[in-house]
Amino acid sequence: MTIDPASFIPPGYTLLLALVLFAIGVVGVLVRRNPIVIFMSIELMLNAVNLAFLAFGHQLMVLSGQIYAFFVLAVAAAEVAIGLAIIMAIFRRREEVDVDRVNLLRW
Amino acid sequence: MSGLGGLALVAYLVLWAAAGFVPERLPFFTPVRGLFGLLAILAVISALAMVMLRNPVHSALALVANFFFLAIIYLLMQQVLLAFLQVLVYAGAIMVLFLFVIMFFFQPGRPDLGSSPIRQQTLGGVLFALAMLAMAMVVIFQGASRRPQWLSAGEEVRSSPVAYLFSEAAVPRKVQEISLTPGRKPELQATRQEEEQPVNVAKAFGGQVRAIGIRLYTQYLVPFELTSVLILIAIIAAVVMGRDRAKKIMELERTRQGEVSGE
Repeated sequence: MTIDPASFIPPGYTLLLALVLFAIGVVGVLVRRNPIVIFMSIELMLNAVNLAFLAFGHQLMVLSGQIYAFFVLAVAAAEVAIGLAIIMAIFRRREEVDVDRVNLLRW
Repeated sequence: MSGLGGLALVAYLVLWAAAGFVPERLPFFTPVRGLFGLLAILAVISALAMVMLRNPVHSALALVANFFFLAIIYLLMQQVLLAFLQVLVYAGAIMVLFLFVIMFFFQPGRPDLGSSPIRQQTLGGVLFALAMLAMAMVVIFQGASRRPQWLSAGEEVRSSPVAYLFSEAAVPRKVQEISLTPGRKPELQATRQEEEQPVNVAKAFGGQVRAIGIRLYTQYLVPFELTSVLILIAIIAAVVMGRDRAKKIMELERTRQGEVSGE
């Protein structure tokens, strides 16, 4: 499995893109008030990590990058299912989802 | 089309600027790399839109666009299976779940949508993310420019992937990593023949997916089965939460109706 040099993307650039996307996701988690958008930001961060995995898989020409990314994908799906169920439960009970006002467990 | 090409060139120059304008770090311009630069910029724009748009539906749609751009980048990197899983699972299943929940609960014009940002946290959050970004960039550029210390003088640098971060060359591995068990080697011979030829995408499609499937069911069998347990637990948790809530709401409704009729 060799690769055409003209279609090879040096992974440094891909890593930079992954970093930028991850940072945007961090901003989303810290700044937004809506828990659903916070969850979407977490998805963005997971995607950035996937991108880094695949960049190294591309560079090293191994399949491990895709396999690890596959597991990240599965965990993300499980996380979204549970997280959205929690959000729905909170919304049904309190009629609001502002993360600043859901402070029942605050000490 | 020429406008698109020009845009790709501009995107490529921006990427070069991101790499610090070091001439050795500039790989020669190819259509694939230009397309990558264009997609990278589009992905960043859509991610920013996701964070900044007020309406959660718009945020979700921006994130779907972001997933598609990333899927095309995966395709450019010959990571074919994940490109398709990205579209199927992320854009297809997860985002539909998000949109479903959003449209199920949120009506526009409600004051408690949580659409405004947390003001006192905005500056701190952005600064924190920028600091994290700068730190990671320092690590990447240092790793890319330094010769790894564990190498002795005459040794090939090829053994360190980090030293190759901005260079032209991929780091080829032995075919054995893709293959099956050491005893039977039907897959190994097949891939060894492919090894000599450049990967064309159509050819890699059958080969990659097959090889990944084989490894998932042999080398990564335990994590794979654990993943299925994890997803089963997630399903049960979601169902339990939904049922519990529905029952309580029905009780609540009944008591409310009782109060109304009591008056």
